[in-house]
Amino acid sequence: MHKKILLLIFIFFTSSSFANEKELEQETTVFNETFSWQIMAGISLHHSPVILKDVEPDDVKNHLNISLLIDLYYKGFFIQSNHRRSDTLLLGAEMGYQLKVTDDWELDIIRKSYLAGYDPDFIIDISDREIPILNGLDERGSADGIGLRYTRYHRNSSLSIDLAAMSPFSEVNGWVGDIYYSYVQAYRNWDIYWGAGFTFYSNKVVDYYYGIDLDEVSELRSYYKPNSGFKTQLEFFAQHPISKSWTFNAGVTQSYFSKSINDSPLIDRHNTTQLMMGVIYVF
Amino acid sequence: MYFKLGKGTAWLFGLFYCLLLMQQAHAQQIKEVALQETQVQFSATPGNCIALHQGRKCFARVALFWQTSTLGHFCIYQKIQNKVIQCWKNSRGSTTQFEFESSEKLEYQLVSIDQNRVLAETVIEVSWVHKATARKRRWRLF
Repeated sequence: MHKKILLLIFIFFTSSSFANEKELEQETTVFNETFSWQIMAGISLHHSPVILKDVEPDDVKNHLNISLLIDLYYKGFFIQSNHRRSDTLLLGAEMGYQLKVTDDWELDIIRKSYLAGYDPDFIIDISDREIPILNGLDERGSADGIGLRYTRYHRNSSLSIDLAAMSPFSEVNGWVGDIYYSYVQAYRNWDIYWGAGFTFYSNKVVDYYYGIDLDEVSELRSYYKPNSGFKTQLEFFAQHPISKSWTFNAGVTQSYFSKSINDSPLIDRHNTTQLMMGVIYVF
Repeated sequence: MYFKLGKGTAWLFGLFYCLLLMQQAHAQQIKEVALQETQVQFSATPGNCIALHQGRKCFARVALFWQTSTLGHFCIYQKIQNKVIQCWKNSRGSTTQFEFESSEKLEYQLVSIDQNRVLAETVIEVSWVHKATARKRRWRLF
């Protein structure tokens, strides 16, 4: 009798634990409207010239990028990382809330960094060479903004438009408007993405990053108060599966900057070509 | 009564003996078929095609290798569509290559035309890196 009871208890617990496992698996791994997550890790080599004068990222670690990419979605709230690459957690990640989602378009509240900051003293410290243009220059914080993103989907392409105010999350006043178009082309197991972007920076944003205040004027830096500016980008990115968990990724971005940015005494590159090649592990 | 019962028992015993012999012969036949089947090799390389996203077609250059112990007329079929991949006459083994293109696993059969039976089966699985998701977000590279 005791053996039968024990057997029944065993069957009950083994079957119930199996059911729990199935349920958990569905809740945590299948993308649905309630909750989903994804974790990826990436390692890549990149060539990414800095537009600041005399700043050359010549150290190996400046060409190596190791990232942990975490995505979370819960009832419209999301934290999503940049699946292409991410320099920092803040620059790569976007946080927000989906106000409206349809098959064709989406409207989100978005909070993200639109421009990376820099600390001139830190750049000088880690550099092997003298960078006199940066001596005594104030630190620039990152442009963390909050705004709206409208995204339109059409077959293999998407167009997203961001309009974001920089304050109160960053020292920068002003606003940023960002348009990004992406087209994906499938060739066998490859995904090939073509992209074009246009980012408009208000005069306060350009002034904060590329302007020279009176207290920053030196022999090498004349006073500079720029107007609004923009950046245009053309992009190519390709992705190919290596195994069930690994993908190979490579891409190139060509960027052009407006005159108000190029005329800054801090800038010596009018356009940049950035390259990236790496692998991503999907957990 | 006793004799009658004894005769019946003898018949039963004889019948049982015949059945036993038949069963042994059948077992021997099964054993021979099994032996033949163990001498059949049929495999696909790669056995797994990996796509980037769930539900997407996966592409691969696949090689199907087969070998048997006897000469004969053999064909490889794609199981569901019953599509002939290739046939060989008076052969005991070969390799064929073709372009695999599917969003789900496909099974292949090695068929002996002479014996009109399936000798072996192999499968090319389809897996993916990213699960299907409703989210269509795109990201900038830099």
